[in-house]
Amino acid sequence: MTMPARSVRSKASPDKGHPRIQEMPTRPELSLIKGTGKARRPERGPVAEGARRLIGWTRTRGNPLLRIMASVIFLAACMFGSLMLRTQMVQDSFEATRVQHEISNLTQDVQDDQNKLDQLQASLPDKAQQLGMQPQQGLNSIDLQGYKPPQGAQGKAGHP
Amino acid sequence: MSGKGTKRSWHLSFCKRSLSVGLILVLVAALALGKLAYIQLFDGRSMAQAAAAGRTVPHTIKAQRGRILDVNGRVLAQSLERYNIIGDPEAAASFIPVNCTKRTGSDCHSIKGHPVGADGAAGVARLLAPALGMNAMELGGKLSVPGRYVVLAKRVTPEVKRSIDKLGLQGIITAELSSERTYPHADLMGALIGGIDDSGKGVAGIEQMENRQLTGSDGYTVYQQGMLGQEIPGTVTRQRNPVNGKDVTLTVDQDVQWYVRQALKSGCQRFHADWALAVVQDTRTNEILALADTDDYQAGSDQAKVNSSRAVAETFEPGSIGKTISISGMLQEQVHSMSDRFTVPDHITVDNQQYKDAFDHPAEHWTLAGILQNSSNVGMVMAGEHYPDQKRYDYLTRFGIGQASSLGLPGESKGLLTSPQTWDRRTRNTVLFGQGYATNAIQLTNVIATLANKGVRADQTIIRGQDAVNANRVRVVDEKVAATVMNGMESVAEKYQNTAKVDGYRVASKTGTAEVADSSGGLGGIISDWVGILPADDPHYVVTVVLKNPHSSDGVFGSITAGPIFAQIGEFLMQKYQVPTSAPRTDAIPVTW
Repeated sequence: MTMPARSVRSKASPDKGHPRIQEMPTRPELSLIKGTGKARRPERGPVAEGARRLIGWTRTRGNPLLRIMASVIFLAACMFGSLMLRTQMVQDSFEATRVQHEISNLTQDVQDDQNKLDQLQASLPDKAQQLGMQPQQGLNSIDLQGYKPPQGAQGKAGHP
Repeated sequence: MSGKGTKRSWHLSFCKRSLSVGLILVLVAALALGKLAYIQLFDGRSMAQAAAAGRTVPHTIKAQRGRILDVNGRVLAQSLERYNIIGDPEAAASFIPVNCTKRTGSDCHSIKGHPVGADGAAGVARLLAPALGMNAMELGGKLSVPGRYVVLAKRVTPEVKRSIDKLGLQGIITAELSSERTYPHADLMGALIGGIDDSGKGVAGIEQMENRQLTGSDGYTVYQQGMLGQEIPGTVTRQRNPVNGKDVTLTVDQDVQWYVRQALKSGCQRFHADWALAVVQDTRTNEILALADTDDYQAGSDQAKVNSSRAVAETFEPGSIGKTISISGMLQEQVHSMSDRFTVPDHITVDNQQYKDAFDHPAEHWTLAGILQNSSNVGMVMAGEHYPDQKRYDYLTRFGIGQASSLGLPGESKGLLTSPQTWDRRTRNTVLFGQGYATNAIQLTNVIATLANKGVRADQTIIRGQDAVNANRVRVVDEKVAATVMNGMESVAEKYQNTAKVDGYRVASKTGTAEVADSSGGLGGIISDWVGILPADDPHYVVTVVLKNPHSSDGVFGSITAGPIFAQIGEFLMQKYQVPTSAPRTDAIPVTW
């Protein structure tokens, strides 16, 4: 009489933490990295660095309320900042308009003054005539043709 | 029991009614909230866009018209910013002035510290009248018409506009930017400068001729405006800056123009002439230095717009000045030389037509130079015996007679020169001594400038930068011929040294006197003219002086009337431009034999 073969099967599941096939650890491939030091790790500004640290800090906390609060504060700050910038922009715009208006007024004043000056200049000959002034009559000329400098003259500029 | 039941039923009814009203209010609030939510969440953007579109309007920015300057850059015409004051009668009707108190501060209405004392259009008119310098009743009438747009005043100064801005009439009184053309020199060259119409387009004179150059291109700006039409800062969406018109610089020298005009006016007064005109041309550049007349038209006025400068508009027979053209042709065609001898009586009959000199004289032994010097018509007819009609016409044409000048001034008359086939027996000979055709002062000046330019005729110009000196240069006669004719003209000037001498300078001149039609249509008018080149030995300037109907006890000849004015102008030119004095004349061609 033959006895059936006895088999025993464990109900325990394989250990998930240990893979059935143990893979040999592989060495990372070496590759050429261009640049050194600062180039590899781009320098961040103080705001970006602060934001990175804040995000990092919230991740270390288990309570999501902190994350929500930080987000809300951040959004509120953004809105406030945006509002402030917009207000400043409108204020500057008003100021620019005022300055432009002033420039326009000054330009008009200069135009008017220049026109008055032109009119006064134009009336000068008539006024001079009314005062009895007349253009020079007759010819006054000195004929230097054939002029010879005296003996021993230096001929130096300013010292004839 | 029944009282209790009544009270309870009243309470019940009150509650029901209250509930019904409450429900209606809630429903209305819900509808309003729903609409608000719909507008805010779904329709908000389009609503905002529609509102912005309603506020956004394009505004034209007017380009300024360019200036007209003299050769030294002095302003002859320029545009200034001005405002048209616009009223809104509908808004004025509902105007209620705010009396000034401590509480209102400066946001109130008063006239020199006193209350306005009237509502509506009358109140607006009372406030506005002192600023505009107008009558309040007149203004009130203008503001009491139906409509929303009425022009109250045109072209007020920015200063007036600013004072109106301070009156607190925003929404009732507005200002539209406009411009005004001003002419500092007023009547110095009114008809020459011309004027513009209400739209700013040049309609006469230089303003018309150079309109394209002077006119700029308008710009625009698109922005949102407030209730009162003011720009809301920061809302400009599109903008194109205006391109102002370019300046036009004339070759005219204001000083020369003024002096020439003064000389003409005093000459006109002295000889009781109807009018006088003069042209001064630089022979080296063919630029016009002065184009003056005795008219007193203010530039920009209606008179300046309907009249043209006399120097281009008036045509006349040149008289004896035309002899220079005939003699030039005869010398060029070798019909005669300047020293050819003639025995010249004071009258002659050719083809049954009698010709006389202007004065009686016995038969004189004159050379051709002598004929020119004595301005003998008889001598010219004798000299022209073998000078064909076609050549007479050809040389008149070559010197520019009967053709419009290159100046291009509006209102220019090109004169009159008919073809030789139409000449009768008399005209064919009168053209030899400057009668039978008509010219203007500009053409006449260029005829003599051609001789001064060694026989080369070039386009004249009155606008700087047109480079006329190199444009259309045509040789009319040989250099030697031009010099010979100028030599003869110098003898003419020497003859009239007592009336038209320019001390220190040699002058080559020709005088002319011609009968012209008067207002009755008959030959009752006189044109006396004088054209001269100075200095004759080194030509710088050609000056033409023309007088209409001069009167003098010594006669009306050009040598007596126009000559002294020419000498006065010539002396001024020589001094102003410091022209070296002339060398003594040594090569005079004999005038007698």
